[in-house]
Parts: sequence; structure tokens; C-alpha cells
Amino acid sequence: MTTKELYDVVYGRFPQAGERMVAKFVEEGMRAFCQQTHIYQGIYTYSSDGSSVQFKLDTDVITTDKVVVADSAQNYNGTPAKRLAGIPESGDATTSDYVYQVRNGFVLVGTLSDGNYVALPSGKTIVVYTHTVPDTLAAGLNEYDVSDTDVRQFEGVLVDVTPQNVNFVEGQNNVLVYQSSFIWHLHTML
Amino acid sequence: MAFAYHAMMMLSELAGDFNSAQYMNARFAQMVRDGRKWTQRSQQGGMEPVKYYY
Repeated sequence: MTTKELYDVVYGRFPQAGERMVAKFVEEGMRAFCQQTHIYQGIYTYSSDGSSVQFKLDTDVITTDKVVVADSAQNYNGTPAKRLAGIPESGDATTSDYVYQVRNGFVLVGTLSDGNYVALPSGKTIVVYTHTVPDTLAAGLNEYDVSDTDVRQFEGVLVDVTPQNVNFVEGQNNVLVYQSSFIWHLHTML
Repeated sequence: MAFAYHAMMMLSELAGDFNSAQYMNARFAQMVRDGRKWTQRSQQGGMEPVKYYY
């Protein structure tokens, strides 16, 4: 179903509803659906600069499942960070392994030294696996339903929907030509 | 369709048609339950969307 078809379902019952209102409520439906099902997954990446320990999460993120510290931005294989259940209870907490936690919309990543985060060396890529919400309705439908741009025939065969020029101009001239040729044929037949 | 049902639920509620809103809410909740089943099952591959026709 495309975005327009989805809107048309709503307009079928509420023909007088405002355009912006319908668009907003349908998108809100997408957000509610994603939040209640956790159906949409997303990956966010950040680059370490050698001094930052916290990285702003997208406000759409619902849950953070896994954080990996990778050596390059091209390859997400790396060292998984261990999740901290809360603020370290002891100031003596020191780790050599990467740890992370999510606080106030930020993901904090690094190693711990006496309970404080130590920033990752620069050049690392922090890969955050999340459940999130698509940015727009079209993006969500592209992922799980029909794209707005493609139209398909039976058996899912993609159809080119680009308007075709058939080199035919409608008008009175065509009608006259048709009529005169018809009369000429009529004459020859008789 | 779940998105549309949610929108229609909101619009019914604004229009004061609470019976309709309750119906739309039930349809939306049914689709959420289906979505949860989808996310909780373990499946390798076979994730192509269902074929659709025009």
C-alpha cells in the first residue's frame, strides 16, 4: 500500500478531514505501531574523537540492543561492549572491556576507570543496534510494504509507469480525416 | 492498514463517535498483536512481503 492509498482509506470514511491532520494521525499510527511491536530495527553509527564518551541517540530510538566498537566504518565487526545495568556502585569500578549504558537519550561508551568513563581512542566506529521508528511514513512503507514509486502487475512484475507519448493528437482534424476516408471507402465499395 | 486504523480511531474520537473509535482501536490492537507474533518468531529468510495486486 502506498502513502496515498493509506490516506485514501481514511478519506473514505472521513472525506472532510484535513490533509495535514490525516497525514499526522497516520504517521502517529506508524509510531504507535512500531513502539508497541518493536518491528522496525535500525543501526546508528558514531565516530569516536578520542575525547567524547557520550553520543546523542536519535529521539526515535525505542530500545538499544547491542553496541559494538569497530575499527572501521566499513566493517561493523568489532568488539561488543558490555551493557552496564546502572551507574557503577563503586568508585573503584575499573574495566578493560568496553562498557556502555543509555542515559537521558545518550549512549555512553568507553572503558571505566574508578567509575568514570574513559573515552575510546579516536578513529573507532561505535555501532548501535536499535529498535526504532522510520523517519517518515514513506520510509516505513518502503521497508515493509509497497514503495511509493513502484507499481506492480500480477505476480509482482514491476511495471514502468513513466507516461508514454503515443504521438497522437486528439482534435477535430483527426475526426475529419477519419470521416473523409470513411466516405472514400464507402464510395469505392459501392 | 494498522496506521490508517489508528488515524481513523483518532478522527472518530474527535468527531465524538466513540463506538467507532472503540472498533478502530480493536482493529489496531489486533494488528499490533499480529506484529508482535511476527517479531517474536524466529525465522531465517522468507521475509519477502506478501505479493500484492492492482
